[in-house]
Amino acid sequence: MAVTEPYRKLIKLYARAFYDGEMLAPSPSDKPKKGKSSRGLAVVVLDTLMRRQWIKEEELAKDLQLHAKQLKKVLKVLQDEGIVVRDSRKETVLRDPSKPPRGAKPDDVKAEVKAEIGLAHEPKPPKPPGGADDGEDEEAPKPKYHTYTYCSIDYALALDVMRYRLLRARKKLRDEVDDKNVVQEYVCPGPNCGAKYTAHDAAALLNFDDHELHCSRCDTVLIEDSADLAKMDIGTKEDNERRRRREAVKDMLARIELQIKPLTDQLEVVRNLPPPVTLSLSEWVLQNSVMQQTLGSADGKEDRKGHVPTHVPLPFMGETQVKVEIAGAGGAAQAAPQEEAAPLKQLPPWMIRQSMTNLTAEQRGEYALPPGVKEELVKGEPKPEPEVGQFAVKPEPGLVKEEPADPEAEQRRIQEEYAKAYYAAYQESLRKAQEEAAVAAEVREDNGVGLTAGLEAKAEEEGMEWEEGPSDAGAAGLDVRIQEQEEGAYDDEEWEEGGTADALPGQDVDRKQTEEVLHAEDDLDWEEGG
Amino acid sequence: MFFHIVLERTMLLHPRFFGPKLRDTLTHQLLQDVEGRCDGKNGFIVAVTNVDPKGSGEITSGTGMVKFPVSYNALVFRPFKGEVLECVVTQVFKMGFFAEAGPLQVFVSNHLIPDDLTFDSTQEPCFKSDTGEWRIQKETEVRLKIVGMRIDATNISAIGTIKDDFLGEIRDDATGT
Repeated sequence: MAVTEPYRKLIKLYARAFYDGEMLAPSPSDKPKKGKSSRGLAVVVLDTLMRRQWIKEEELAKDLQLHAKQLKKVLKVLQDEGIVVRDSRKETVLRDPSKPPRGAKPDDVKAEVKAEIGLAHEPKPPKPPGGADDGEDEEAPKPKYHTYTYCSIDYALALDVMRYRLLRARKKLRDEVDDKNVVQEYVCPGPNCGAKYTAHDAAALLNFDDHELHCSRCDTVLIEDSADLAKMDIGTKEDNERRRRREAVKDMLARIELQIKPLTDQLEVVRNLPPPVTLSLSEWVLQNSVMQQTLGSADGKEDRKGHVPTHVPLPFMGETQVKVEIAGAGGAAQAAPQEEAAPLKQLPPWMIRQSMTNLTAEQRGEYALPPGVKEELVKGEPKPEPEVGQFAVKPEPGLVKEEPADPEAEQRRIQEEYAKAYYAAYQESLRKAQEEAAVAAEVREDNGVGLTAGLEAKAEEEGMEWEEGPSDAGAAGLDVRIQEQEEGAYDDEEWEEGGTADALPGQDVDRKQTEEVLHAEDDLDWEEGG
Repeated sequence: MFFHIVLERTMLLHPRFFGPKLRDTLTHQLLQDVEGRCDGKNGFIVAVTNVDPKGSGEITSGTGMVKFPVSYNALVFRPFKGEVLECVVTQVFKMGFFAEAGPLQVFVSNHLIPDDLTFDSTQEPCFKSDTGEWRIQKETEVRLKIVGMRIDATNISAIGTIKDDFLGEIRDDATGT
């Protein structure tokens, strides 16, 4: 929306009336630096902003040939003063592989902005060309989000602030003239206190030692708050201070009225004019999406040259709209078709009670499935001991009835039968496991003592070793003995079947020899042990 | 300004006071509780003139205490903005002086003291005119006008001025400044 001329003039006058001085020295403790004067900066910034709507602060800085930081400070002041609104927005920054290095002069504004931003926000330094990590750069540039701050003049707000400001200024001076500010204010001059008190607090603040008002926080002697006016106008303190001050204030009021006359006149002009509507940033972006698209096509030319557009604004989907409907007549009518559409959820079995008669088959978990699938479902029930689950015997398909009369009873029956079959299978598996363990023990034993018939081939290979073995027979014999002691329980049982260890029929000469040697040692050992 | 108004209060009485002198105890405790107190709405309760227990007490469960609803007549002092009071100066210092009107403490800052009175601390701290005709120091009676008040739940603080006609030091032989 075009800003009407009266409002432009108003803002211009306002800026020149109130923001003509130093902008960036808000507290007297800040020492003004040479060559860093911000005098009149706000006027320039506001005049520039008046010709645009929302603008990226970096771009504004570029246009004004100002340092971005300095501009940001000025804008912050103006924002606090209620003239400028600022908003930030996330935009994608595509990382351009052909990005100019740090020292290079960027071609256009966007590239420069991007370079600045990129440098500021990149955790890693720019990689050297031809480095080991080049492969990463070759990949498609990842969209990188960066928050840009936009700024704009809020005319309506500025108008309100302006009026209030003038009102307060006049009121303060008039009160001073008429001596109406009866409640005297006191301020603490302490370096980092600045507490303010009113005359109502005087009783609590009075120090009885020196009869002065002391700050309750830092115990500094308080001074009167109208000191700013006094400082400006009054030379000596004793010489009829208050009367002179009143004269001075009266004079000041007259001068102010004269000086802000153009501003007040302009305020009268705009009194009946609606202020220009300041869109919010998102609205503005939405409105300007067409413009952004044309910009995007301009960037498309660069794409052909191998560049990637630096800024891709995120699509604005419109304001978030939340519609809350109270469940009433209309709400229920709307909700009903949804219920029909959504499939009913299966209730867990432990939640189904006898009294719940109106449950559908789906809710009971009984889907109309072909019998094969149903069996699968039944088999798929959780097993109590999954580690031996491999031995579990699946129930026969005949056990499962196709169409149960009473679904609950049928389910229970299936579960019982399944459990029986499962436990039978489990016992079977236990027995098998025992047997296998026995066999395994046998194998272990044979590996330790000598060689079983099933391991003849291996024995032949190892026979050589065993023949040499007796040279260090002491150590070997000791090992065997220990193993025998450990597995004694197994030994007694197992060797009964195939005869005792001594009676084991030898099938190999080598083995026999080895055994004889071993047994001889064994006998010795046992005798010693006995 | 003073008012004679009817107020109500619920008294809590310990069972040990039950007996023939229950009413006396109730009255005594009420006086102890409310006289001299200040509440934001009614101002300072200066005196209780009549106590009238209403109905019978009610035993609170758990504690055994008894609640007695009591209505009483009280003389209250409620200052108002713009009211002119006669006060006694209690303290004088550079920033102004404090004066008391009964329970009310009023602060008069030096802005609200006529310009021809200046602070002098050579002897006893005081505000005095150049001629020495007028002198406000401790124990001086002044007539002042309340120009500002702050009412808390339990206290009222007031700001007064003597910068107006017929305000300031009160003298027996004079009718004002």
